[in-house]
Amino acid sequence: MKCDRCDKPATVHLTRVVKGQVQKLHLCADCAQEMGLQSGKSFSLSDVLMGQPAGHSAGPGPKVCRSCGLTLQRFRKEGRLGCPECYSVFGKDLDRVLTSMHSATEHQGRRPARMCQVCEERDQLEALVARLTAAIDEEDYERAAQLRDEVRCLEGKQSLESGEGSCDL
Amino acid sequence: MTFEDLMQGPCAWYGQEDSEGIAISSRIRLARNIDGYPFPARASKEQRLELREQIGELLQEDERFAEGLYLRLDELSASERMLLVERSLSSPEHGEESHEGALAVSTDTHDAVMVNEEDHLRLQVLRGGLSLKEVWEEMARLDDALEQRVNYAFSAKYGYLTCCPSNTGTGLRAGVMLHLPGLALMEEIRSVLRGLGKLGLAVRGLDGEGSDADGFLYQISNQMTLGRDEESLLADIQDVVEELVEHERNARLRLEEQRPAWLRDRVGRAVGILKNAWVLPSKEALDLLAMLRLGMGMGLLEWEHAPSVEQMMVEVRPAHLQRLAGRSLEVEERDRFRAQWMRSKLADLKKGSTL
Repeated sequence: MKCDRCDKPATVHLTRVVKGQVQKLHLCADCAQEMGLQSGKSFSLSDVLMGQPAGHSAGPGPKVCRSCGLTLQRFRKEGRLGCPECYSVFGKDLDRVLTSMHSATEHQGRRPARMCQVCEERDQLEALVARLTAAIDEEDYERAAQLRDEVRCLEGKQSLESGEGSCDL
Repeated sequence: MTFEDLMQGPCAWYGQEDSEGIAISSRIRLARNIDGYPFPARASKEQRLELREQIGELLQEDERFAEGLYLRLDELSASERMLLVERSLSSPEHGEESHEGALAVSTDTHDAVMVNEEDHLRLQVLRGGLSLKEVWEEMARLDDALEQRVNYAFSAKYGYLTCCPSNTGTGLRAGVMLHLPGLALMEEIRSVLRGLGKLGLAVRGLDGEGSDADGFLYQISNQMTLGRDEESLLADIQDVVEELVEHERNARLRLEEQRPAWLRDRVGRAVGILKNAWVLPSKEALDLLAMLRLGMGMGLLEWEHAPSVEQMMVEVRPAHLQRLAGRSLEVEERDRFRAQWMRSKLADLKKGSTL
C-alpha cells in the first residue's frame, strides 16, 4: 500500500470513526512525522489531506504556533514561549500564567517610540467604546450612531496598519 | 580593549558601596527580543548566527560599546566564560551553554549585553552601592539608543515580549546586592527575608537564580515585571532595600552592645584562619571574608593598605584563582593555592589592630 501523500510505502495506518463514517489514512513514516502524528493522538483527516500539520485546525485539538511550531502542550510543560507570535496564539493559557506570576495581563511602562501612535489610537478606541456603551445605556441613539461610526473608522485604520486590528506589530 | 584588559581592570562596582558596606551593588537587566525572529531556543543556528552578527554591528555604532568588547562565547574557553560569570557580566546559563551566544562589554565595563541567552538581548547596567536611580537612567538611555536601530518585539497589550512569561511586560529585573552578616550573626536573617516573597521580591545568592547565600551576600530583586511601570517596580526595591540596610545597621549595633566579645571573636577567628590556613575551600573563604568585611565595616580592623574585600571575594572564586595561577587546578590543589594567595594578601594587616 502506498502513502496517501507520496508514493512511498505506507507504514502508518490511521482509522477514525466520525458520526458512523470510517475515515482511513495511510502514510509513510516520513509523512507521518512531518504531519506531527503520533499514535494515540486525535487528528483531523481533512487537515492531513490538505497538507496542514496535525493540530493546525482552528477547531478543538492541539494548538500550534504557525510561526515557530511550538505546541500548547510544550508551552504548558516548559513554560517558555517560542517566538513573539506565540503571544497571540496562546493568549488564554498565557493570560492564566501571567496572572499567576504578575497578577496582571496588561503592560504598563516604557514603549518603543514607534509604538506610541498605535497605543494612543488603542487608548482612543477604548475611550470611544466606553462612551458608546454609555450612550446606549442612556438611550441616546443619535449620539450612539455617531460614536459607532467613529469606532468603525478608527478600527478600520488600525486593521490597515497591523493586519488584524490588534496592536501587535 | 582586549579580554586581558577586562580581566586586569577592577569590576565596575568595586569599592563604591556606602561606608558601612551594606549595599554593595545595584544592577538592572532588561530582556529584549528582535521582532521577526524566534526566541533563541527555537531559532535555527543560522538565525542565531545572523542575530549575533547583526547585534554586534549595532553595538559597534553605540559609543559606549564601540571601543569595548564583543565576545563570541564559542570562541572562548570554558574557564574564560566562567571568569565573565564570576564578574557578574554574564549569567551562569549563558556561561555554560554557548549557543551562538555573545557578550558585549562597554568600554568602561559598566554595561554589558548578553546576546542569544534566553532572549535575543539582555541589557545589563551595574554600579556600586545603592544606585538604582542612576542605573535606571543609564539603562533607559541604552535601551532608547538600541530601539532607534532595531524593532523590538512588543505588543500594546503585553509590552516587551520575552521567552519566559516571568519577564513579559517591562522585561525588567532589578537587583541590589546586600551584605548582611550582622543579621545572620543575630540569627534574624530568615525572619527578615521571609516576608519579601509576599512583597513580590525574590532573594537570591551571589550568582542569582538558585545559588546559595555564600559570604552572607543576598541579592534582592523584583519578581513581577508586568502590570506596573519601571519606576514603580524600582521604588519597591528601593524601599525594601533601605529598610533592610536599616535592619542590618541595627543588628550590628546590637551585636556591639550585647555580644562585643563574641563579635570580635568571630572577626578575629576569621582573620586568623584566612592568614594562616593552608587549605581553603571556596565557600569557607567567602564566609570568612564576609566576617573580615564586617570587621572592616564596623571599624574593628586596621590596615596599612586596606584590601578591597569585594575584589578578593571575586578573586578567590575558581576561575579567577586559576587565572592567577596561570593554569587549571584540581579542587584540592585549588584550595591550597587559594590559601597561599590569601596568606600573602593579608600579610600587611597591622598587628595592633583594634580587635
